Amino acid sequence: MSGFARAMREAEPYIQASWSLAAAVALGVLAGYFADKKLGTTPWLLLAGSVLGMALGVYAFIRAILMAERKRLSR
Amino acid sequence: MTRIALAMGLCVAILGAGQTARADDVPEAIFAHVADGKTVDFENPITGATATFHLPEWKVQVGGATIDLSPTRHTVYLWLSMVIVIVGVSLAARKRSLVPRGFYSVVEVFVKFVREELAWKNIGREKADFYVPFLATLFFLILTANLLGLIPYGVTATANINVTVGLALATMCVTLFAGMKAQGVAGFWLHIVPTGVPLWLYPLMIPVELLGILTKPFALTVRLFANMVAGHIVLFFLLGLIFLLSSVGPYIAPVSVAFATGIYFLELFVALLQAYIFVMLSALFIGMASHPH
Repeated sequence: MSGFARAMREAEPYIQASWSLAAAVALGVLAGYFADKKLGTTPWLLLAGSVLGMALGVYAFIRAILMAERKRLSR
Repeated sequence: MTRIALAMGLCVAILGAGQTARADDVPEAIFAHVADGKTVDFENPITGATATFHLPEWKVQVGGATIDLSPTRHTVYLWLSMVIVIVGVSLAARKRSLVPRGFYSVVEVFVKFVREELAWKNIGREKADFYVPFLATLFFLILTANLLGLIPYGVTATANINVTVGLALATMCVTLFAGMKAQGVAGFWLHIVPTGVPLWLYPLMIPVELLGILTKPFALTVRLFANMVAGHIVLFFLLGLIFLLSSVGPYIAPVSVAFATGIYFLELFVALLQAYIFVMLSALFIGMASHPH
């Protein structure tokens, strides 16, 4: 079981990077959707939120992967 | 021996359900089983007699708004697992002795595992013991809630996204607390952006770093929730195959019961594994927050 724990520890930054991509898109879309519902500006905030979420998510993903690689190589 | 008994029990349950179920209400029946509700139902699988308990409605007035605090099926089973954990672990801990025996030895194995394998290795030995009570509580609560869904009449409280969000937010609070304890409140929030980043990137970096704080509980939430829901849906669809393919003949039933039994044992393993992974990742996040680079 401790081998599995070590593997999880090693893989965790990469798993987290993929999750941050998914979470950014989901959070952007949801925030835009509910803001639209509240303000009655369908569909503009939804579109803006999803584009913003995607951009932020891809940026966060690439940055997390680069940082994880740097950390792995420096060990 | 228990496997055979369980398979026989499943067969009886299927025969009993077969008197009422038709192929076209299989998906509805499955999603009704996984979904939350305002009732707690018990059904005799042989006679088909049902007992339904309607849960009370608790409405609270705060300011001008009405907040619905009514318990639901999942709430009831979450409370049940809480009571089982509190009563079971305290009773086990009362009878402690140098040579562990009975239920106490089981609890001790898990606590020792959480402390030495998860907390010490992820947080570091000098800081870990402060967080072990939180991690062990999380482990026992998630494990009990997962396993409650696998006993007859049980409902999986962790197959409700609100429950897993609550658990993940608790982890997030402890992670932030660990970060603020290690660096000081001001130091933690000022060093949220890593050093060496040019100043013009700050408007972009601050949302990304805040997103990083939010994605950790998001990952924990969805992982536990999806695993518990998916396992139960697979289990019920394998049993529902009997009714969906009833035109083919009666030969489907033994195959699908065999597969469902297999998936049931996989689910027992997944219940343990998901509790382990949730606690391990919590310990990892706490460790990352309390050892800033």
